[in-house]
Amino acid sequence: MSTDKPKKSSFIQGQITSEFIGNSIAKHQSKTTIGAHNIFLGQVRADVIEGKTVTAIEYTSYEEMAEQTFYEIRESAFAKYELSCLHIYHSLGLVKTGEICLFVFVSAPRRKVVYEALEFLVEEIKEKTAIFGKEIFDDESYTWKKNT
Amino acid sequence: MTITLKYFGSLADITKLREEQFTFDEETISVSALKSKVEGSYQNIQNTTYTIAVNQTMSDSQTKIKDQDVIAFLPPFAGG
Repeated sequence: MSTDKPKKSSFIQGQITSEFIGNSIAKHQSKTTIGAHNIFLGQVRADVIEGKTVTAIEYTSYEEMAEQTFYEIRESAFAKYELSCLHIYHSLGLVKTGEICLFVFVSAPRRKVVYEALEFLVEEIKEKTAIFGKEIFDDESYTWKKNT
Repeated sequence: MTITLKYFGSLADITKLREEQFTFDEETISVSALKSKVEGSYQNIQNTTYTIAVNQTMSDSQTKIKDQDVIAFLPPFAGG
């Protein structure tokens, strides 16, 4: 295991707002070697499970381990693809249906690589990161989410 | 040896705890031996799917646990 410390937190308390996403895009205007961005947004879905509708997901994490996993995923993406930069943000706490809980942002000089890199990153995050989701129903009961 | 156990998600629901310490006479035990002990204390854990991280690294049943290690019981991941 790498002993390098994670550079910065990838977690955001609550939903990831469109203002936050817009500001992230704007911050890249000074990086003029970039020719292509690609963005993935994960949104909380109102699944119906045994007749009850999901109204929100409450996310928790083993944060120290998850930050290290995000760091390792970022490093492997940079090793695999020619990227200018990439950013991963995930919510913690309560995120209502329709709100954004995952924001992955990749940038490169040219477009082809950003499609592949983004898919790689999202799949790695879902498979490897120690994040747990409590799906809360309209009657306030809950079930634990599993990625499929 | 004394180790710290952490429980997450549905596993914390079963144990009613996020964290506790266990002390054993042995100097080291395997992950599979620890699983048997914890499943003895919290029998409902036997009916769930989970993985175990030792000091934030995913383990297998042969992984050795030593004094001061931090053991995390992790239910299926649900990020994104």
